[in-house]
Amino acid sequence: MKRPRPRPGSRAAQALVTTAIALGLAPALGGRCAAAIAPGDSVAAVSWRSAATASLDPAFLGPALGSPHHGRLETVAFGGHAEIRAAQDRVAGIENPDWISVPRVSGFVLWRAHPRIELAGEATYDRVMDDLVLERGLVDARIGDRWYAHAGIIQPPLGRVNLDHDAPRGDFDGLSYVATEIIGVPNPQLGLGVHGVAGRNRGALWIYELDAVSGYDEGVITRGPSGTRLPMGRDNFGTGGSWALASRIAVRPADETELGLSGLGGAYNPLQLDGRTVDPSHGIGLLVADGRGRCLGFRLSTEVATAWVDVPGGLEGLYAERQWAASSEVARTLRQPLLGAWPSTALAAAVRADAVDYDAQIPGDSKARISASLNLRQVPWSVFRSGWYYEWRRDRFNNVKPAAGLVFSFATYL
Amino acid sequence: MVASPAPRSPAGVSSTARHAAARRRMGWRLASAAVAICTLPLLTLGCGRLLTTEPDPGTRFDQPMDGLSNGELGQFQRGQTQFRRGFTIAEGLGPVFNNVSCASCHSGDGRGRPENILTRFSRGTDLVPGEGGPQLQERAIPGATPEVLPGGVDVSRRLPPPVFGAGLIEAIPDSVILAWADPGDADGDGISGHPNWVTPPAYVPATEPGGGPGLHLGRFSRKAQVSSLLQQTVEAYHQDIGITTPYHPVDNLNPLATGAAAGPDRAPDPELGETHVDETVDYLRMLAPPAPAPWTDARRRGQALFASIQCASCHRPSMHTPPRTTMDDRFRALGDRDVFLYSDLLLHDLGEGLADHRPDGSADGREWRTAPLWGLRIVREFLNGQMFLLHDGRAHSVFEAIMLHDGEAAAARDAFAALPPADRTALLDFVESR
Repeated sequence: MKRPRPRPGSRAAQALVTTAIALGLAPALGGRCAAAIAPGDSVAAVSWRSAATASLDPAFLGPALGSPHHGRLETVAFGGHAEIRAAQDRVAGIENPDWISVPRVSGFVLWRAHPRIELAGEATYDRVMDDLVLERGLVDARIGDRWYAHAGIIQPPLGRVNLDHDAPRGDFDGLSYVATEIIGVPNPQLGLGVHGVAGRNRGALWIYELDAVSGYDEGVITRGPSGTRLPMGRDNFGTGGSWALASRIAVRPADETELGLSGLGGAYNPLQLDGRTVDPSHGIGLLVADGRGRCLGFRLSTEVATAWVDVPGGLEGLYAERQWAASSEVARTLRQPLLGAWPSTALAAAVRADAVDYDAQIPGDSKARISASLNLRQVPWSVFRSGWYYEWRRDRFNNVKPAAGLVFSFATYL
Repeated sequence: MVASPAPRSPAGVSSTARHAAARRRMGWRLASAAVAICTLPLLTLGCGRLLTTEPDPGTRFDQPMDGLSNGELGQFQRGQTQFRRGFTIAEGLGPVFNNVSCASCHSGDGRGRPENILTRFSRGTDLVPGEGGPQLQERAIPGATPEVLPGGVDVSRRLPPPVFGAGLIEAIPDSVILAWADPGDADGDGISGHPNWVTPPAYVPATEPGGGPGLHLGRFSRKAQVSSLLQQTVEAYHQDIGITTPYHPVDNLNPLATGAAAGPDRAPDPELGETHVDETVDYLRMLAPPAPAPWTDARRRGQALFASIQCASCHRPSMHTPPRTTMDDRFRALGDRDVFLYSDLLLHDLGEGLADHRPDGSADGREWRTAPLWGLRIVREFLNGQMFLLHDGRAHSVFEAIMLHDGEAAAARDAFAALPPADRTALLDFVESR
């Protein structure tokens, strides 16, 4: 008797599954999300939260609340995501011996305590922060049909990347300079505020968020070994004692087009030692513009950020008072489905150019980078990336030192 | 048993054929995906430039000397980390300081730029510590007060010098340097180099070159006022960065500040351990000078002119370190080497135009240590295409630097100016190829 003929593509599928299991990433395949969604840019559309609130546009939901989950009980959803990176990184021909790393591991839980009240928590090990951080721990209350109030450890709405930085979503293994060098993503802060949507009755959808957050502390200048570094001063849990206002407004004229403008203004708190104020508080401002859209089959996204820091007297000239960064990405799905048995398998290519100027008042102290990546997604929430980057690092003397790397990474929701 | 015929589609194509076609399509797709995924890495690995290439060791200032043991190379790497380490306020930066790391003044381990210039001041030979001397720290951490230059002091503005080859300079025996000294101009050539005899601080032990009680030959810094590499390093940490060490465990304060001068610098002293200081010192010792450019006919002619117009009377082309067998184990790697530094490490009067009128040890206000010329070949590469020469960086080319010489060097300068243009070009080419 003849054995049943395997369906086309199943051998390839077996190979991919075997590879995934070998990598210890079987949970990625156990996700409960629907398969027939576009890669990369619409993961949130299949989240438990957005399914439960289908009448609302998922765009304004945070990633913890909008992430695909692995498990679900009656009123609780839980999951996480992880990324593993293997790379040959070189700086001026000198190879970094640390060729493998885990840039990010995250676990989250969401509890619907009441039809209008949800509690969300997310803990993350982030290699950039080199710490296990509570990335979210918030209460989100639905006040009206289209707006919410939230409080706790939140992600201030600084650009789209900070709101949407889960590793499996990106086309590249690392975030842009806007995210890592200026904003300091992930950037959880103690805060409270409101967020919601407005408009769209054949017109544009407006998305807004306004929060009071803990902002930045004196680490902006005291912890940066090379001058002003905002990420070194993230006041994650409000210990600094000063508050800032953060807000974002975005317009979405069409489903895949969005323009956003966000900012943060406040003070990095007065420097106190042994209970004694040794320096008064100084102002800090951050402005971020972001946009994304689709044109001729290409997915385009860009983000620009600039920061102002009131540097204490005595540090001017050495510590930057103004910084900026910019990033642009172009991506295109080359083939989907790649495997007939799995309609969501996709091969995509992406290119990114980004730059950061740590001190806009001098010619040097900056970096620029181009990155290219080929991504294979067997499911939208799981990606294998093969990429290359080349970076020009300029010191404060404006001398250039090149750096480059060949990178393989795997990121998946768990 | 006869197999039943395969079912046919309405178009007359068997399902077996369709499955075979589908398998072929799938195979092509997988193959194309695999090729696409692998293309980038293969291209990158195939072309080393895409992953950056290591520069020629002779074209950098931060390379170790050849012939070091694995242990010495490890020490070199640790020292390089310390040299590049930027200090934060939390780690002890300040309270008053000039910059945050060694590397932030010495570009690529070479010389600095005018933005990094240091201001040294005194009243005659009095270093005026009570007024913030001998160095102005114009920056301070929050809560501390930066220093301001007191009125009526003697001021000398000094560009951070290159640091490579310091170990070789340290290894040259006193006798070799003193052999060039001619304080009374006994040979009547108008050049009268003399040594700067200095007393090192008590924390420099006799086991360190240039250390121990008594007078020692100064060979480091612009006026050769420092005899020991350890002293140079410790004082740079203390004065330039505000970092205390076991050798110098008390913070450098602004003595004219009101209130608590230490301000918020609550990092426990010493802020840098002895091990790390030693690593930095050893790193400086093992830094190799860059290789000179290949010889050409023009450069050989320039070399001959350099000697004939008496540039080489102060800028001595080479010296030699002692045999390894005579050296301490710690410094054996520095032994038996030619040192092409183009300096006699002695003090010379360079005239009124370059004078800072600030004595330093036995150097008077018109005297400077002969500046080594090694490394000029690539100096622009680490100064963003520019060149800053002489003690305060006022000369932007070798030509300008020569023309600013005076005093004992006036005759050589005039001889250079009198050369035919082609000879001047050859001489400049020679100097800039070192």
